[in-house]
Amino acid sequence: MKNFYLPIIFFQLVIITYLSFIIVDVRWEIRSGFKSQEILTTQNEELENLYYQLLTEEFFLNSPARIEQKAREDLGMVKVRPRKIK
Amino acid sequence: MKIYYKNWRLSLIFLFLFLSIAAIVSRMVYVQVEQGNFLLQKGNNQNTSERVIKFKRGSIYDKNGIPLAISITGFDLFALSGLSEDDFLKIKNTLKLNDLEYKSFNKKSLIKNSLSFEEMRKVRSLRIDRLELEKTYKRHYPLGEQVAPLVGFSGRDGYGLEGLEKSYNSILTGKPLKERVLRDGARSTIQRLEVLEFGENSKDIYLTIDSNIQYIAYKYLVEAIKNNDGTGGTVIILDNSAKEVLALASYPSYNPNNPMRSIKKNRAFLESYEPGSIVKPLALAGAIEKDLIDIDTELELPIKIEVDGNIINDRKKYGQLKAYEIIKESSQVGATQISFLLGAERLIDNYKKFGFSKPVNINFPSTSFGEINSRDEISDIEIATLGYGYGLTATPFQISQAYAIFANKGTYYDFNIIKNNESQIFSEQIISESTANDILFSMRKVVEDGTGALAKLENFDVSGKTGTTEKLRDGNYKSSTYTASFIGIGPNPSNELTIFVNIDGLGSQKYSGGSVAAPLFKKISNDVFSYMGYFNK
Repeated sequence: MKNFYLPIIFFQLVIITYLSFIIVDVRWEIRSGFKSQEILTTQNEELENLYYQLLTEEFFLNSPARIEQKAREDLGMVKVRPRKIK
Repeated sequence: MKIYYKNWRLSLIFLFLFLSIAAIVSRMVYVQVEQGNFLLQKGNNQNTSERVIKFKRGSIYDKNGIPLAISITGFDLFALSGLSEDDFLKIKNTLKLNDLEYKSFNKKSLIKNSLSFEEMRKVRSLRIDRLELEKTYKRHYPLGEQVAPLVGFSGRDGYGLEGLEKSYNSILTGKPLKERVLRDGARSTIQRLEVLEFGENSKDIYLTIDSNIQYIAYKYLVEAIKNNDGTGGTVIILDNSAKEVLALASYPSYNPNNPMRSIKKNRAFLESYEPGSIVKPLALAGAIEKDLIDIDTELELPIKIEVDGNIINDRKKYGQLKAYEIIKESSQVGATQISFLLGAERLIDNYKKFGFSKPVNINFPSTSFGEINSRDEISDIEIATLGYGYGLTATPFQISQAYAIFANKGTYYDFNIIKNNESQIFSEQIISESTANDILFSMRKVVEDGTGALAKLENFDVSGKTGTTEKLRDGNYKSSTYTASFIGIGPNPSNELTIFVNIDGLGSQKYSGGSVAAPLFKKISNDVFSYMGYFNK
């Protein structure tokens, strides 16, 4: 009878030990996932900062006021009067 | 005897073992059953914690995607208690903090705020224990004071405090996510246990404002106020076909990027004032609509009339004027006659139909909606003055929306300031299309050779109306302070834009709507029409 229970107990212990390792492994992976998420969020925010910077610069470079100033001052251009609309 | 001795010692050992095991088991039972919940909670408190994830505040863009309010990510660097001098010097050299001297840190202390990503990486690479980097979001407003009274600003905690930042705060911030997480010894999250409160991501907002048009409006507004020694002013540009606000400039303004800013109100929504002659076309529209008068009806106008012992006079004796000429010349006597034709009740109802004394349908932290003198025992002089814009107050935005009715064939629309606003635009036919066209005709005459001649453009036809108001102070009209207004619709024939301008606090030298506001309108409309491509090359 003793010989019958011993392998079962041993088998259960092995399973419990294995599952414990799996839990540790999964938690490690989750931890790594959270770390990666944090790194990616930071990278994303850095890119967002750059995006805003470029967007603002694009607006500044494309603004009619600046184009007109460049045309007048650097290129010596004169504004053409629009024709009257019909 | 020997056996008995042996059994006695064995029994003692067994008894001792039994008692030991019993003690352990009873302790285990006590710990598990009696103290189980307490210890479990204590253990959880050490390993689990509540985590609040706040979303980065949404951005505000103009209609073309130009950022008007953005959150820039930065980092605040803190020294924790016990930071050594050596470590401090490493940080000082890395970040080039030459002015900072070492002191013993007994508590968490700020070393430097708003570190860039590059600086953050440099600090992290030092691998110093007694340091903490906190991520922060700094709100930035690229267009600064041009849009400050409209967009407003948010505080350091990311909560909207003024303008649209305040009105749309819940959309811009979203809802923070609250969850319980399991942490390891290094306080890193290793498992999400439960969500305590579901979050909602923050959203961006797109306005109907066009930054380039806003720039034109603000630039000329400031220039005109300074040249005419005014104290403030407003420019509103409406897209009549899209029912959108294209620009809304208000001066004085402030720099929202400066933490020491002093807030200035948005005059377009808040500065309700007596509009003066600018309301005359609205009264005429009411009279035409009631079949009391035609646009060509001739009225006999004396140079002055006496009402309740008060003299109402014109600049000159016009003799006979057609109804549209009353608008063109901005005749006070003519406007008085139109008021009497309508009578108090119909005149006041007419103004209310045009949206006066009603709140505007714009989600803004505070808006004024003016009032109309509508007391029961209204006197004749009060009826007369209502006809030329005294005894009632309205905000620049209300006046602009009222005039957009003429461009929109007699239909009143609530204008939007948020792009893709899902709420349905309120609309109501106020006057007939023919009445609207009659008023536009009379307003065109104002610009052609009437009081608004200085608003005449060389290449575009526009309709307009001037307004000059003496300012009411402490119940008296202070004749040395004026508000000059001009509202125009153009370019004809599409009439796609309504442009309102006013300048406040003008002195007695140059103050009329025709001499101060009309030239400002001309400059703005000329540039805006060209920018929007209303010409054939």
